Amino acid sequence: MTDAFELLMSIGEAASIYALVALSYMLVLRPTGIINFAVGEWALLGAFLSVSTVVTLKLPYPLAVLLVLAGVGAIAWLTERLTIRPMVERAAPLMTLILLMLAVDIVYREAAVWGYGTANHFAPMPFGSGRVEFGPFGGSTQSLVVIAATVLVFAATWYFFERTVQGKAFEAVAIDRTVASLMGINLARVTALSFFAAGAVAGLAGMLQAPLTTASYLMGLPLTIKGFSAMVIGGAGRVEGAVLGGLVLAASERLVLRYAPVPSAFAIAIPLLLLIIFLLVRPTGILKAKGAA
Amino acid sequence: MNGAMRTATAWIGGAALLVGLTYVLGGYGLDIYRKLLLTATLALSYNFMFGFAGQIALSHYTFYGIGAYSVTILMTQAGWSLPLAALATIGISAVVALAVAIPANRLEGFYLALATLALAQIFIVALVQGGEFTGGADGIFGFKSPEIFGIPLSGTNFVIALIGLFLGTLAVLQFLGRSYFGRACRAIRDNPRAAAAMGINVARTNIIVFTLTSSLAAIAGIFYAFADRFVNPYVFGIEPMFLLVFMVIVGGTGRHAGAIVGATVLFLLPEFLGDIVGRRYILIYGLLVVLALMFQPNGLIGLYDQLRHRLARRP
Amino acid sequence: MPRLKYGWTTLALASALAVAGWAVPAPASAQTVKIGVITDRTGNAAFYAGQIETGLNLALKEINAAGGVNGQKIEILYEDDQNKPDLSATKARKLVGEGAVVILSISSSTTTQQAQSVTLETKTPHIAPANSADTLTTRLDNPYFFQMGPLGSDQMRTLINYTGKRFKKVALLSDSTGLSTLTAKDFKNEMTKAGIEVVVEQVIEIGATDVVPQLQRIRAANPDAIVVAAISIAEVTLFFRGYHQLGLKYPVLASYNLSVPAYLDLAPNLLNGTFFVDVFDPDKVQAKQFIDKYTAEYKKAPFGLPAFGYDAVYFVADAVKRAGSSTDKEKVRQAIADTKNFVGVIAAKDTALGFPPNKRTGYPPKGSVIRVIENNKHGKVVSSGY
Repeated sequence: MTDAFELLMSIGEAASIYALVALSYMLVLRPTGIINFAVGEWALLGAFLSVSTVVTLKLPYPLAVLLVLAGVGAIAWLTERLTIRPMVERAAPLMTLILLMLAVDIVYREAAVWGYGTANHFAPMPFGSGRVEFGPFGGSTQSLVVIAATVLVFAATWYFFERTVQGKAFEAVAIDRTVASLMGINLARVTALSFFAAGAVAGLAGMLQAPLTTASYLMGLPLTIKGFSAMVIGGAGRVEGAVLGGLVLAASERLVLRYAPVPSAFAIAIPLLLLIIFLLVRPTGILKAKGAA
Repeated sequence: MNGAMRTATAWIGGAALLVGLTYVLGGYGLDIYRKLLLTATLALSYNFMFGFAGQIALSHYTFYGIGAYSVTILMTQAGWSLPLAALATIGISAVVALAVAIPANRLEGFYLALATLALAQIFIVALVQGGEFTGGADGIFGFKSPEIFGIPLSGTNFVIALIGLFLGTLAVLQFLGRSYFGRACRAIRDNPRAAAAMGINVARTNIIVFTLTSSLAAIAGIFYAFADRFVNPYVFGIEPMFLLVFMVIVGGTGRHAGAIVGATVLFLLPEFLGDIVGRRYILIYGLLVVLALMFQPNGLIGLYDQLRHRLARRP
Repeated sequence: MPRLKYGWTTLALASALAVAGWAVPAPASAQTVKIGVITDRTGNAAFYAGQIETGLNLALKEINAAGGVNGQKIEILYEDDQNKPDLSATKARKLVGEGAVVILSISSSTTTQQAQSVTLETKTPHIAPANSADTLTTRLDNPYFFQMGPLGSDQMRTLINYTGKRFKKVALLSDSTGLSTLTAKDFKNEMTKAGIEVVVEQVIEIGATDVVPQLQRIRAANPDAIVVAAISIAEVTLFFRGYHQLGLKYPVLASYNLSVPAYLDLAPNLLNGTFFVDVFDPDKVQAKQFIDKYTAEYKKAPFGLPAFGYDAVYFVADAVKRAGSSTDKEKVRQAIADTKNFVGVIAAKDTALGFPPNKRTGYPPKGSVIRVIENNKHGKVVSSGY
């Protein structure tokens, strides 16, 4: 029985990271239509920045979190300002924007390698690496931290979109850019803010993962693929889709690893296969967007 | 000289130059030259799919790998002769390409990119887990170069064969590019709905392009297997694929010359940048692509054209 | 068509540039003994290769300060293969063209394998100082290639010798890198030969975020011990974290890849109690001298990898001296193959490097030691050889 509950914790932790990355995708996708190749590298930057702030500069953890969120958010915002905005103003085709993010993604990664090298970097867990047990559940303290942080972020996001005027503005832009601007919503500001938020969320995901796996220059691409898979599976139309997609992806990965009679090496292929299947069979994901037919 | 004579001269002259280089270059230079010819061939076929037809697929190196591994496995494990193995490989690759192209046709843009990226990863996992059949993580190596009519296909002979591959691919793609098919591809790239309205069968054209260019990549893969007489899963990974995309963008998408220039420049540049720059050439390439996409979408070949026009305008 | 013609012109220009770079033969430089080194400076074996380089450079400095070999100084030519197999082959060719009389491969086993195709073709002596894959000398019949790392099979025998009959069934853990897959295969073969049953095998994927389900499988199989053939730092860290997270208590035995101290920094205090194979016995006389010299030069303590680099250069220098030539590759190859009883810094006390007739693996089969990690440090040697 311990197995099942430990697995649940493990699934929760992985689902959280995937959900955060999927959310980052959505925050950019919904208002602008751009699918952001660079999400994994934003997480990577968050991971490395957390190493710099916590390990090198030995700053207190809450301050480090703020710096990482602000830092990656700022980098994301700057990228939008310098590369995306001018191209959007020139009415560049969507494909060009996506390719741009691919190139920028490589730039981020190589800049990180320049600064931090190709070796792995240690990131400490903020609350220690002990084993926690409450009732039948057991897991590491870091799993709890990850899950708790994710719940917070999603609660805040839900509140933002459902209860605030700015959130409604976002939704309006997502539904129809032209009409939204005609209604007086400042498109440029919404886009800039969405990039900043997407960067911060991805950076947080990286910061949460770094203590678990060490910060490494290779950690970006798997997150890009898995986060995108989570978004596709759950449905890109709603924020809840990120959570659902993350859970489905994490659960299938972990359960196959634990119980399926296939060699564990094939477990790598699960997110990839799920992605391909969903793209072909149900690209809108499990949850439909609100108001969709 | 009229147009036809001009073309013939260009082809013969180009071929002569390429062959001449083969005999001038020494060991290391020849090695680079071979890899360059293969890369340029891949860039040409990729550019046709990416630049001419507008499909962002990231599976090109996967088909390169399918070609290389198929011919190697057939020759080393099944003991087939080269012509038979090569033909079978082309057949296998075409079938696989078709099998991927049909469902892939429903995807576009980033979705196609990620789906083909996922496929590329799965391919590597399958190779590494393939045990004795695929040679596993070590790959397959140590086999002999094949012989054509008693002449071994190694050293300079091999390079001549590569030149043939390169020119052959170029000829095929040039012909296609200028045909109705090529115009249909470009129409779909620019505006799929308008193309459909004009009567072009968008789905069928897309499927043919994908199958064809991927098969061309597999054919290049057949040659690659004998370049080092070594096939290894990690050669066909994601990194070289991204680099191929960069080459095509920086060189100038949608133009054969662009693919050749892009491949040549980006492939040779690290040699000249040396050890001080080391790995950072990738960073430079990323920046170059950003600049190209933002300010020079026609790439280096576009720059070259502008220069030519400016010079031509002088009285 | 005019467009195509100019495309050709461009290609021609670019090619001409390339030709300028390589068609001109390298100038005959002053007489030095050129050792070509294929290293990884920028890929994912960079961490290990960099450590070996420190040893290489120290030996280089010492030998040249003492007058060199046969009156000539040694020169090391470094090339970066980025841990890419086909690039490794190309770099090997480059080094041969630059006059290297011996090539050292200090990148991963997979890239060393591919570089061999070039050293075989160009008949150049080729040594892998630290690679441990058994297949390096068996899959390709290359008389010019010599391997000085501890073979996976010998490592496992040393481990089995230490554990005796205590462990009848084990769990085997590896990751999806090429080297780990090969090491795991070697380990499994040896264990099966010794009658030890591998009841469960798990492969940690590169990029995994946690290994709880895989460790649960291991727990479900209830092995007597866990044998770790995983080498990739992130994945090994995940394993040790998960191990403690689940409160597991199985003895952990690891390959010589865990003799790299980096793991201690990245998973502090999580490795205590692990037994691992090492090539470095700090109580050996030569090792003590090396520790002093290395610490004086680099201000930090050495371990197996820098020792491999250090020994490699002395080894090559010794062979070149006996060959009496710094350019005749055949003589150098023969001198290397004739090496017996080369006592270096690496390997257990009272063992020596050397090649038995018709074998190209030089590390003494009984030359590995077993050490235990205590207080987040590499502890003492508890067993040697088999």
